Amino acid sequence: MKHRTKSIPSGWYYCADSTEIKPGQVLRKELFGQTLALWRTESGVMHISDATCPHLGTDLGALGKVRGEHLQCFSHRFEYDGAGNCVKTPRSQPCRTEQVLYSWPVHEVGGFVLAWYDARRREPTWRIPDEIFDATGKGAFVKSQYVFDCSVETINEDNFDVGHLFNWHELSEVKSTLPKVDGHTISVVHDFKRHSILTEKPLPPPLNILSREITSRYGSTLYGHGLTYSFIDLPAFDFSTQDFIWPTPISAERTLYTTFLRRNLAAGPRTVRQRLVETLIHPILFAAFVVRLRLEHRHEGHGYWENQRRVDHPIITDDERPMLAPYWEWCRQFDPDHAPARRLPMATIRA
Amino acid sequence: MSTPRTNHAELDPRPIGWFAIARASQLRRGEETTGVLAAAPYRLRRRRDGRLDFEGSIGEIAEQNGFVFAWHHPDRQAPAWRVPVLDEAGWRPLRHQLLRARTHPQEVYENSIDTGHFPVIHGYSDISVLQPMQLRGHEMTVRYEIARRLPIPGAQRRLIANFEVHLHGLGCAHNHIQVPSFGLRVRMFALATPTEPGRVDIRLGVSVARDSAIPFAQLAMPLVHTGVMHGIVNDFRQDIAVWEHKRYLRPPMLVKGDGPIESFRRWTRQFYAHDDAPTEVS
Repeated sequence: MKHRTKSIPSGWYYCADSTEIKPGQVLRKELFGQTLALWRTESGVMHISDATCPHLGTDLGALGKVRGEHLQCFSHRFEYDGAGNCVKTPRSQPCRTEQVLYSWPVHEVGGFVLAWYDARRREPTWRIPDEIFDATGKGAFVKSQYVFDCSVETINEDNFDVGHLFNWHELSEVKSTLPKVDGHTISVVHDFKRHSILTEKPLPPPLNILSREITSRYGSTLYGHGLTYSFIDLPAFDFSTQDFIWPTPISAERTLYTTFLRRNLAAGPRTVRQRLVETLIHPILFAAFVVRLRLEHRHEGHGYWENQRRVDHPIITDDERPMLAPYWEWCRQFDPDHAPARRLPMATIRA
Repeated sequence: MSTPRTNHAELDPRPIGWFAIARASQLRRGEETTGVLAAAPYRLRRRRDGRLDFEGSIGEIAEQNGFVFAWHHPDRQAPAWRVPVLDEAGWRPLRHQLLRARTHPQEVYENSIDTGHFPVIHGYSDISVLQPMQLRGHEMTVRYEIARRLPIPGAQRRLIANFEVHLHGLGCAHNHIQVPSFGLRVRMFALATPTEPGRVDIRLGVSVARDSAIPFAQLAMPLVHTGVMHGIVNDFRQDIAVWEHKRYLRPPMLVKGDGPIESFRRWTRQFYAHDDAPTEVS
């Protein structure tokens, strides 16, 4: 039975980079099946409002202007404050003035503009901790962005779908911890062997490191469906990266997938050899990672995620059950429709 | 990533009424044209004897005032009314302009009673309503006096104009503009035709009266005609920029001075065969 996701899970989602909206600017975005006006007041306060002016429907994302601390509609010069109150018109006051324009809860942190989505517009019940955005000892972000025709739940299931790692990610061996659920977060760590970073074909030295089988560790923590905060460690090269993966629903079945990858910079006293490796090898490794991850995201997104449907009665193996069942159960807290739990068969297929 | 899009899904893309589908001179004898009217295709052919054959979404044809009007009713009912034929004597030949917009004909005409947008979008000032909106059957009329800058780049002089709107259904408006200080009379057809859902062809036809009391009228008139046409097209382009970035709200959040939008919306419901719209206004 094929089933399409009908609703968008509640949570914090990435909407823009802070640098995209300078003081006094308005940016129009189509996310969550709606049109949003992202605007920053002259004093620098970030707001996200519904883009439709409640007066006569003008698109404030396209035709709104910031006037001091207010958003002004171009068509009739109605002005709204950050809380969505109509605070000024050229003529008389409208029939209603308080909270006439929905103002989205906003959290701006680490250079990201996040909005809280809830289908019933309930207030946020949790927040992504600011500490994880600490840039101390980290390199610069490399941003990548894609659009995939699938839900955010499908994308995030990847972290717990160990079976797919062999084919889609060309891993040769995987050992995983059990998912650890803590309220709105869920974490997992995989140790795996991969044929190579870039290519399986042997490359001549010194590039042969890019075609050698490597052991690495991938860990991820999901903060709701909107952020997968992950790391990849390559102990053999004393190299590690940090990746902020932001799946944002454009609609229930379309996702804006934005990733920000950066490498951890070494700290403390270093030997000459370590400094050489960090200066000469790490930038190459990082570039290889960026290329590899971009290829994988495109390949997996368009190939696998876009060709998956939710199965209400999945047949899964005993190996998969302890990984997938907690994830599916965890997902239910964000589902505004409180969809029934997936029914797992009593007798599962042996791997 | 995001493409500006309107959402006029709330309005039926198949309104009832007379809609201009071509300029009369556009179709020579033996020629044929096809198009989309109210989300359905049509075919129009001028026979050798000059008459028009039609099929598809067109119910009846009327060729008048330089335009080909087509009657549309989603249930194929016969026309319940006609658009008037205006006397062309004493008027210069129409100048035409076709504009295309992602909107709905109702938005185009609601604009004419949305007095709140006149100063903001078009820079009109001192707007006074000389005759409030009157609704009679399929007709709507309203008359304003406005002050606006001369439609010449850099011009500072303001002129006072009387503006009279005659709307027949949601497809035909003929407006009359008088500028007493120039002795100028302008007639403007603004014909909004729904094509594909969410898309409208706006045919403008503008003429000026030959008896306008402008000095050296015979010499100056072509120039004045061009200037007036330019000003009107510019006003429409300003409006289109808004229409293409707005949603049709039911109900809107109206304020005093917005114009009789509630009454206008109630009046428009006669032009929808299957409109089960709930509350129109707040």
